[in-house]
Amino acid sequence: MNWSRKYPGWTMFAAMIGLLLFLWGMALPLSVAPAPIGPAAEQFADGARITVGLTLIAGIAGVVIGVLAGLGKLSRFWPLRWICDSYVWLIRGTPLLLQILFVWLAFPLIMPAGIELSDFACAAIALSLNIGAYNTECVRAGILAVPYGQVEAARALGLTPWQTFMDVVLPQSMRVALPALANNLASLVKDSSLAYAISVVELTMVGYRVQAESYQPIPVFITIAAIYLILTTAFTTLTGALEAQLDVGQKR
Amino acid sequence: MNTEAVLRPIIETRRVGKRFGAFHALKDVSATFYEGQVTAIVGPSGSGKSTFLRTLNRLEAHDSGEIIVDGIVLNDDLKNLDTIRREVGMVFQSFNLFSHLTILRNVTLAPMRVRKMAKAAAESKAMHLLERVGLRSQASKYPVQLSGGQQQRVAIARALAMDPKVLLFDEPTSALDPEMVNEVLAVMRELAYSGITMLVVTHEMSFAREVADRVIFFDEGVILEDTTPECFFANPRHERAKAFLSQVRHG
Repeated sequence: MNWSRKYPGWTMFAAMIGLLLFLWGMALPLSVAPAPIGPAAEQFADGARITVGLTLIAGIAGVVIGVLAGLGKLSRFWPLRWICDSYVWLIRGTPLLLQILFVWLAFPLIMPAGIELSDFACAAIALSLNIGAYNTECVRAGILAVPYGQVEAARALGLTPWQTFMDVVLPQSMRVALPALANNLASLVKDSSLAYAISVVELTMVGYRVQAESYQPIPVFITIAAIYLILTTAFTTLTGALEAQLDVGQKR
Repeated sequence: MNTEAVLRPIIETRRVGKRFGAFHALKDVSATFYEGQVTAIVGPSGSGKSTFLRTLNRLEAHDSGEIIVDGIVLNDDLKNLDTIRREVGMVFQSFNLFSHLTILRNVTLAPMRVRKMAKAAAESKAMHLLERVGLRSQASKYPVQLSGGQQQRVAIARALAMDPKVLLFDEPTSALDPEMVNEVLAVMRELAYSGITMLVVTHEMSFAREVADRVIFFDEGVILEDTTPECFFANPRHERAKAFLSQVRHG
């Protein structure tokens, strides 16, 4: 932990390399494990890659949505504020599973003809919207935590509102928002398992299938749990290092 | 010092008014500030002196009257505002250095973003300015690692980096520990003699007396006295000014 605070750049690099090696290399050691794990090694690896794919796409889209909606909630323009408030209210007040099912079953009915979404895309959209709503509150809190004097100083120097936001407010707000955003990301790794309901073959779905074929739930689910733990560890190491990176110039 | 020699007006305010709800902060304030002049703005707390200063670069929007900075009318026109803010630097009571940026980046940010200066040029200029305020060796540190006096000197360098025509100081030494006041005043004194136009809201009467060309005394939203430091400190005309001076002398 001390090392990762001291060399955040290297830690992020190491965590990313570690994650990639794990995703594409895990089938190798798993394949020598006894049945039911060994024969299903490739399935486990495929499932883990789907889980990480969903997490990364929804995680990145969720941050973008969170920043936009967080700004919207602080807007002086009330219709925008109302839209963003309603969005957060709607998403936080309904189950994620319902949201996933809604995107999967209802979007094809309301989308213009000719546009078809894959199951994976449906899951990614629903997860992005979901984590985006939770991120909105974190970003809003982060922006509110930036002292107003920082904005005044930037404006007095002649920076435009956009430059003031990008160069001063956003980086400072992220220092406050990041721990909460990282928390949401850790939840997302596991929440992505709900995509199984719309037949996305992610990690949990793989586990369910393998145990159904082998009638051996204990080793299968322990393996799945271990893979999830390794994934969440990689993600929290990554976000922890990012936190240390952004923490410069802070009183501790 | 050079009040008489240079008479080009740089800031003109005509009957400027400002209210905060029921509180009437500025009541028809008219004043003209000339290039090269150093003006000390003094007065009791809540007299409107800081509010007046903050209307000059529209950190507070005035409700009535007219403000003209270097020939440009200050109003809701964003283009005018951007032009004016580029020419008017400001130093705040609480420094307001960008806490996530190094000292060097604090000074180079605005020239690079607003003046579109190249990084190398902005940095060499910043180092020169940091040298001027005696902080060249601190360039790679973060604001939190500096003392209050050092931070305020960086804030002055940051404002100077935009080559402003006017520098506004909003109680620049009020948030400092007593032993750090002098290092900031020394930098301001050096600036004043260099000929830059300065408007300084301050409680440092000795600074006003020694360095300013002109003293403006604010009370309850109006300018009560507008004169030379010699006249103001020797024989103030208004009872309120006399009371204020006896307070700060013995307080």
